[in-house]
Amino acid sequence: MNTNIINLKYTGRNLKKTLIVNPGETVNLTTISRYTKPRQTGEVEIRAVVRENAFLKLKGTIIIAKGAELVEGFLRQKVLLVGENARAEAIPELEIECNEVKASHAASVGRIDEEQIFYLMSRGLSKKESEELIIEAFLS
Amino acid sequence: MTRFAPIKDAKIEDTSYQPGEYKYGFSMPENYVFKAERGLSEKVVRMISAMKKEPDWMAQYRLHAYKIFMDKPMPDFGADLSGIDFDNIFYYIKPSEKTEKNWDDVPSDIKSTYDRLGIPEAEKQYLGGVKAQYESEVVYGSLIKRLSDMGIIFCGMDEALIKYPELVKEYFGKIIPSADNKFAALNSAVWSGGSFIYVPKGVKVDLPLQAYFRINSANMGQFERTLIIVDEGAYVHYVEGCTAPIYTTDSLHSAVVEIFVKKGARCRYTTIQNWSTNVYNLVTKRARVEEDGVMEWIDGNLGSKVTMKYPAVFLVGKRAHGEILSVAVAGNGQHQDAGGKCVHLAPDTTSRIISKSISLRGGRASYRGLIQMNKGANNARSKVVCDALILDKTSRSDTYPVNKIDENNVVLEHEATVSKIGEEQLFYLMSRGFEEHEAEAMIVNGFIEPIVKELPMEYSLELNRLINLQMEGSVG
Repeated sequence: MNTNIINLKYTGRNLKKTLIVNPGETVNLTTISRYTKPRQTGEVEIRAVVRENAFLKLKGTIIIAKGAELVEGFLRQKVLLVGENARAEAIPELEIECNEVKASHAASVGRIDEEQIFYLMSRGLSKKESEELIIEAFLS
Repeated sequence: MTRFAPIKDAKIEDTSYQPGEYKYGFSMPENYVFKAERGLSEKVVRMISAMKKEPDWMAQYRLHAYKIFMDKPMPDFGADLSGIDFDNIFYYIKPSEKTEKNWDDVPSDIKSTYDRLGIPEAEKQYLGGVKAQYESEVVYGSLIKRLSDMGIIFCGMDEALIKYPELVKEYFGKIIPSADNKFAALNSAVWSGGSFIYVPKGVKVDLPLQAYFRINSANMGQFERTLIIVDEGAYVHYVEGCTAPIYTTDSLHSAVVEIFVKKGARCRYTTIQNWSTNVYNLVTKRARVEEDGVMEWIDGNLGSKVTMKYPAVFLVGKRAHGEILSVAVAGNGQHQDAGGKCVHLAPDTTSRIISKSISLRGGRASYRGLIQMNKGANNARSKVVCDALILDKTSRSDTYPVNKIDENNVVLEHEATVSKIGEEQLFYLMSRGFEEHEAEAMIVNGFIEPIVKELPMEYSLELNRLINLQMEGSVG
């Protein structure tokens, strides 16, 4: 079923990326943020929507090397599963060899909130329209 | 700047506990009934089985596991295990003839060990039952009469195999098969000792049951095997503690723990692992939770040279809940590779993992975890929080979580942070009149508080004290 496999790799400390994994697609997205010098800061944020029968694998690593003091690094992975058989794997990793740092990551995988759909439908939108509106907001 | 200021005035009340000293590091002379030769072979496996006069199926089970162990590669992740010399380990040491029911009958060297560890005292005060394992065998066991009258079984695993062969055969190796990993295979081949607990339907055990594991000889391999069955609607809290003397050569502790939590039942399993820093601690722990059941792992890793331990919960019934609270402290030369796994296999299942790690003096603490939600785990929810503190420049912290989601109607949240002690927090406390080291200790204790508060009082005091001891006088 998964005919279309897309491999993406990003090396860097700053990235904002939104992504839609279309029906039947498989996307592997790897991000590596390496901090080697003091006082570097960075933030990687990935927001992705996974549609039916699609699969997304997100791997994000923050590496802070010895001596890279006062670094602040952040990674956020947010995945919205829309449609039947949408699957995701989120692997946010930290490797920290320095103590004067702030490093954190957050990952969430979830569905569209039923209450949000209900609210929009009560305003006259169809279910499909409501979903698309929420997806648009999530990605923007 | 200075992290962990040395204490200015000696404030340690008990002079026998010097900062950083491992107070359980003493050893006793070896007066053993039997000590197997070094190294592992089919002969050793057969000999262990024959000495225990086991049924044939168990002997076959061991031999089969031995073959799997020989074929399996070492784990390709986690800590460095190249220091383990499988040929230099004693796989079976029998310290005494039988499990005693009365402290006075326990051989005196062994008894004085436990006296120094404070076990008989603890038993009198707040425990429902105790098992003491010394080297390979359980040397002492008790269960208060009120609990045994309710039908609760709490005995050594070897005893259970003879007394309750049907129960053991039904459950043994059913959640952790020998082929699961190399160390589960090793344990299945040479297991000895460990606890067996059965709690009948609807029975709530109001006092914790405790097992205490002690390694005494150098190059010892301890392979206890624990099986806990909590029947429908029942509850049990099991506590284990572990210590060993300090030797220059390494010992190996490789346990397997299987827990069955039936419909509506609840099991809480608390570990305070404080092995000396020459012990490899490689443990496989897993629980299977049925409908409306609750499994809670509370896992404290303070000692050992290397720990690789990821307590797992398999949520197989609707609305089952799994909880893993893990605290790890990695000091000089230590690598704590700890974490937890929750596998959601049924609708409306929930899980929570909270991990707190502290690395100092060149130690390395890693969180390694898995959340898996299979197709059909409709409406499953999970939250993972792992926080790490790094106290000096030479230490290291890692986080390796894996979140696999195959069901779209779920919620998963994962958060991790790594930081040092906040300057502002420190400044605030010092402005209120605390010494720097007091303020630091206070912040560290606050950091692990969410886990400590779940421990029985005696253990939370012990944990706080151990962590303060580890930290004192360390300068970054």
